Amino acid sequence: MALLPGLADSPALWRGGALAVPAAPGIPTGFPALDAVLPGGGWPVGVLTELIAEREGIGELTLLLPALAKLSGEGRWIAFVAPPRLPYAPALAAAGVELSHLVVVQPEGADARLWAIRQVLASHAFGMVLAWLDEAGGAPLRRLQLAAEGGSGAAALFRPPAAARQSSPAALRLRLGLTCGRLAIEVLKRRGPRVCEPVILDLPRAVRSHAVVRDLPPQPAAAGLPARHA
Amino acid sequence: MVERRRCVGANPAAQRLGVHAGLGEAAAAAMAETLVTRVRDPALEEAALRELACWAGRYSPVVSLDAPACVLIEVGAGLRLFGGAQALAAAIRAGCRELGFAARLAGAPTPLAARWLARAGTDAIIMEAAGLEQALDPLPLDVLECPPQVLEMLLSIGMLTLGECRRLPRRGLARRGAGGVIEDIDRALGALPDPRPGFVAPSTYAARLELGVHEAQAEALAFALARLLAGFSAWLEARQAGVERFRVRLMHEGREATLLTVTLGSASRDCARCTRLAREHLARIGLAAPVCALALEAGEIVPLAARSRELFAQEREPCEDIPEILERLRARLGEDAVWTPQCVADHRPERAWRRALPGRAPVAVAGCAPARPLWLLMHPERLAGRDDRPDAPLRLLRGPERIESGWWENGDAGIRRDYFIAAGGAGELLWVYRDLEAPGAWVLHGIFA
Repeated sequence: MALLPGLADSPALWRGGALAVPAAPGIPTGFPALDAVLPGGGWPVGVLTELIAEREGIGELTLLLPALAKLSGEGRWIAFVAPPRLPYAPALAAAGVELSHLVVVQPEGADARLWAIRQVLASHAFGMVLAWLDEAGGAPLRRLQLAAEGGSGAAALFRPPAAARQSSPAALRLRLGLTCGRLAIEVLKRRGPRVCEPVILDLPRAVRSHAVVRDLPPQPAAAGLPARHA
Repeated sequence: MVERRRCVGANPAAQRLGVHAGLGEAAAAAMAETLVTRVRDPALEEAALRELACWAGRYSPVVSLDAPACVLIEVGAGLRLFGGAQALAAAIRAGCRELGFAARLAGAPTPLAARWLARAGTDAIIMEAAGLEQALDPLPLDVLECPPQVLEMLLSIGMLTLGECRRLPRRGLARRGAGGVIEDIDRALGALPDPRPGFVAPSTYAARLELGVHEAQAEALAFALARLLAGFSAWLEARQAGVERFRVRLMHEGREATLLTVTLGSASRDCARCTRLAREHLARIGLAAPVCALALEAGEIVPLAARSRELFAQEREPCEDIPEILERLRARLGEDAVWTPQCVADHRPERAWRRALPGRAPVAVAGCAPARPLWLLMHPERLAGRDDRPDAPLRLLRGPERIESGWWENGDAGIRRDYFIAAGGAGELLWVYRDLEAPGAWVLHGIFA
């Protein structure tokens, strides 16, 4: 059925295929293929974004580096709250992140961690907040989402793989995995229609992990990296 | 409040039970069983008046003390800045409440008229000298605060208000010893000059607050401290200055006082910010005993320009300053929990970075060409492996990068390692090394996150 003339442009009409238009444009991720599926064309600002990485070391942090480099270069501040490991200064500097605008906050204990994330989000002073949160119920997450609201910065919350099955008030939820050595981003939730296909990105990594060295026979179930999520 | 065994004042609760000024102490105690009496202390009253005068400095540079119990503020020049007389009066009233004072406020073109209007409890604000006579005429004679015998004489001839007094023959009054009254009225009406000595705020600030109830609860102490900080912040504003740190002494009965030093990330005189920070500190320290008094001491004060007001209302969500949020995080989480990573020129990976204070200028270090992982393990993990390679599922993808350095230093600072980039079973990239000092020892040192 053809649309009535003029109706197509009416702002009152919402079409199923359209992405929500957020109040502020997002922060470009540096990957056009990813920008295309994100409402606002980048990391959304003023809302919570959940990143659920299958495991550590697949490029979950590299994915954010272009945005971090751009923001810190513009003089905006970046916070790492409760990172699971030491953010390594030489690597960050090599990626173009302005270290003088980077703050690492290391709270001890679950309560202090939630408090710190909330304070940092609610201050609205940071261009981007990266926070790591293992266990969290719906209520603390909603409080974090409320704290992030109204700010002009992006908020990336790293969650363990198990969190993908739980519901969450975050406006954008991405699951990160590896496919043939490339990062596959599955959009679990966004303000817009479902994305069926994962977005495959070629991250600028140190070396391609599927460049297999064939001198070793594969051995099943050997202890490699201890199971720990980012 | 008791002076020479006579009540000189009572709070509303006591007044409801019938206690009033002039009553004997014993009679008052008989009327209200639970009456708590305090002996009047002129020194404390004087200190309170000074504190109020300090605070009033934020509204005008011309402030004078008019004992007893009155502070005069010359506000004529600043009316426009503060949005008119009514808005200013509301601000001053709210400020007094915040400081913990019950204030009566009145305004008039002359200081004496303002004092009389305030004493009469009229709350009037007279802007023009022309309306002054009309406003002063109905006031009772006791606002004059003249000697008792003069007041008695005036009452005996049937005078009840200032207006009636003003209309009496002046020479007759002067002959009966009431010349002072006439002069006062002339001063109040502006017919005689009435210069007042200006109040000079002390150059260092110290304030003390006695707590009626001994308190060990951090929240209640923070509330009391907020009252001290309100006065402090106004004093700083009047001096156009800020502080970088201040000290709070928590007095205990019969033991050493607890000292609390609050350090601000940047010079400030923002009362809310100081209070927030002090609250975090109070919550963190454990109090050994209930606190009976609080004393506030300013550290070194630094000049701080006055805040400029926005021409257009700011549309953006108010956002905090970076130093402010960082100092709050530090206050709660500890000094070491908030830092900025910094590069250090060293080949040894674990020494190629360090924690630095946020907000300091970075040290320029030439970037390193070989790939480095974004995550470094605080405690490197031993991996199982043979001489030439780690056990599966790890696969070495690139390497070795020999790092051999630090042998000139003592202890185990020297390293001799071959670093490789390895892939784990699921394709994750890891940074592993082979320790050349211990053959066959493979160690996980970083993760290419």
